Amino acid sequence: MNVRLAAATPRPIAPASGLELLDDGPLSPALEARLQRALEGSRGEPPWRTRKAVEVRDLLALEAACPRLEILELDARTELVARLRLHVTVAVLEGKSYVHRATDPLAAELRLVHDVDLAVTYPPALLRGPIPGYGAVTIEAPRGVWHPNVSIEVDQRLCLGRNLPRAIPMRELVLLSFAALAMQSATLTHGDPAGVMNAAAVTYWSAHQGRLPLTRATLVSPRGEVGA
Amino acid sequence: MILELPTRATTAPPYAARVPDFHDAAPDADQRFRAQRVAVIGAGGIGGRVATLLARAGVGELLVVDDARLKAESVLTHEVEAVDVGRFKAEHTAWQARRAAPGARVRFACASLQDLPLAALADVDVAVLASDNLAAELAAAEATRRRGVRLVQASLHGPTLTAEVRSVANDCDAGPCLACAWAARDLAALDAGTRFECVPDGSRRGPAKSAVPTRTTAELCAAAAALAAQELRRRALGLSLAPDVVITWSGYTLGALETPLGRRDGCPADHARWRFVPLDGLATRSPRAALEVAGLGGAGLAAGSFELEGHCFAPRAVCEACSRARHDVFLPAEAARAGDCSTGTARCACGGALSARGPRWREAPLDALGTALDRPLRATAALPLEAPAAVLRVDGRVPVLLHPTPRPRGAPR
Repeated sequence: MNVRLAAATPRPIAPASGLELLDDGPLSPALEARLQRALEGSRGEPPWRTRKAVEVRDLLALEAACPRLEILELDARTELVARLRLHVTVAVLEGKSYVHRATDPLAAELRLVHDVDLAVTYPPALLRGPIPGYGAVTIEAPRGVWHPNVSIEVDQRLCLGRNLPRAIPMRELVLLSFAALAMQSATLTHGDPAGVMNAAAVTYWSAHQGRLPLTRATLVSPRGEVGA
Repeated sequence: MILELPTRATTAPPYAARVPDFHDAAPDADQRFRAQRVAVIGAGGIGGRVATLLARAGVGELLVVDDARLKAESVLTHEVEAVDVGRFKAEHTAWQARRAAPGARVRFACASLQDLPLAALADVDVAVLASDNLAAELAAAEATRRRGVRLVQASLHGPTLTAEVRSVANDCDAGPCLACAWAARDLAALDAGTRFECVPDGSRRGPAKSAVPTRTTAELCAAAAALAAQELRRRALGLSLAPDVVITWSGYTLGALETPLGRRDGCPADHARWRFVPLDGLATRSPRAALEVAGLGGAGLAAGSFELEGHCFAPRAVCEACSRARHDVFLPAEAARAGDCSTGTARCACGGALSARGPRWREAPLDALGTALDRPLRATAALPLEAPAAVLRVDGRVPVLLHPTPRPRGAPR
């Protein structure tokens, strides 16, 4: 049988959507106004100010494309500081005694929380060389996050790897943070290359994998979609 | 921490008995050479020899910086003996220099330059870098640039018997820094070679050392060390006309080449030069008073920032134990320097740990300081007796580092 080949036709180009908008899509007037507000009083050498403007614009575009990301605060006066809310499920340990939680987690109650507030600090040093993977992101709320890559110290640092590469875009930090908190990029071994900050949590979750709050939802997934 | 070896009262050797009258040199050239205060960063096969060469030549003040220990294979290229294996390189080198010149002031730090205070090079006139670690190279480039002192880097390439010295003056805004000579592959190597070790128990996590050791010969190390020491001598004699040069010596061709080094656009290093202002009792002053001392008092708050070394500023912090909020405080800044995540914890009056809520800055905008702007730092930060340094930046002005007065020679520790 002769197979008749379809005439070659140009493939329709899909309109840019989602993360594709980040590169050159225009910001809405509302986002543009937020961009200008965030950049008010931006200080430092011209290359650093330019970089901050690019990062803030990217972050606002990312928020527009990602229902699970909410920007609470942006400040570009010196270092670029962003406070973000990610709609991702994490486990926290109830209980008042910090040491108690750290040393005897099984005695405490695990609770699931669906919003995580992050403080992301982008220092100018990151443009000059790699910094430690725990050097940029801390978890403000909830307290007591019980996660292999989250420090049990008071500052709740989130480790995103052995290091953060020089000049890594801020949006990458957000995407990495989401993947780490959703435990999509974390592995339950003490040698996790993403950086173990809480060895007891690794041991605990290894023994209780059925309780892991796993999800297939990504940052661009609609809120409320839990996944399998 | 920088430690100082005790000096021994001794009669200086009669330098004129051996050191020649250099041809066509200023009468005080040798004296100027010996009066230099030199930091040697990296005390391996090259740096260890540079330190002893300079001590033997009569250089009166040396600071040796290295965080590594001697390994079994170090005896192949370093000036050490098998019994020295396991000792800190910096301490060992300092003692070698001290034995060569008992009257010299010799200090050492068993730490990387990145771990030392910002003012570590405040009382140094020139630095010699002899490290194969690119992160240390970048840190030395920026630290000497800030201070405005010459940096002489000695390095080698074993397989081609090549020794090289890069010498940058750091004395003008338009000049190059050491990293201006980096090629793209150096930046790639910096990215690939920097790994921070995470230790789950919360103990120190520092940058890992390069997994590929330098393979070379002892005589090539000696040649590179001699080239570096010679560069300092030539500068004192006024023999080098170009301020920034690369000197390459090849063992294959037995030839030396001097080429100028220029500024490169896109250099990753911070080229800012700072003004160093010694100030004791910083803890008793407020940031506004510190601005006055730095001569930046007239600047508007909307144009400046204040950074207390080793701290971050938080407009709001909460006690983990009693939930009481505190406002406008400086908290110990974890990872204030890359590779340093040792956590000091600020404490509430009840003894609980304070954690920042909301934004926090290492370089705090002046208009975010709130009540902390006019309160003594001692009231807003848990400061040790010897207060750390502070960096004050105002757009369009030279940044100012306020730092404790360096301890003079012979002062009690």
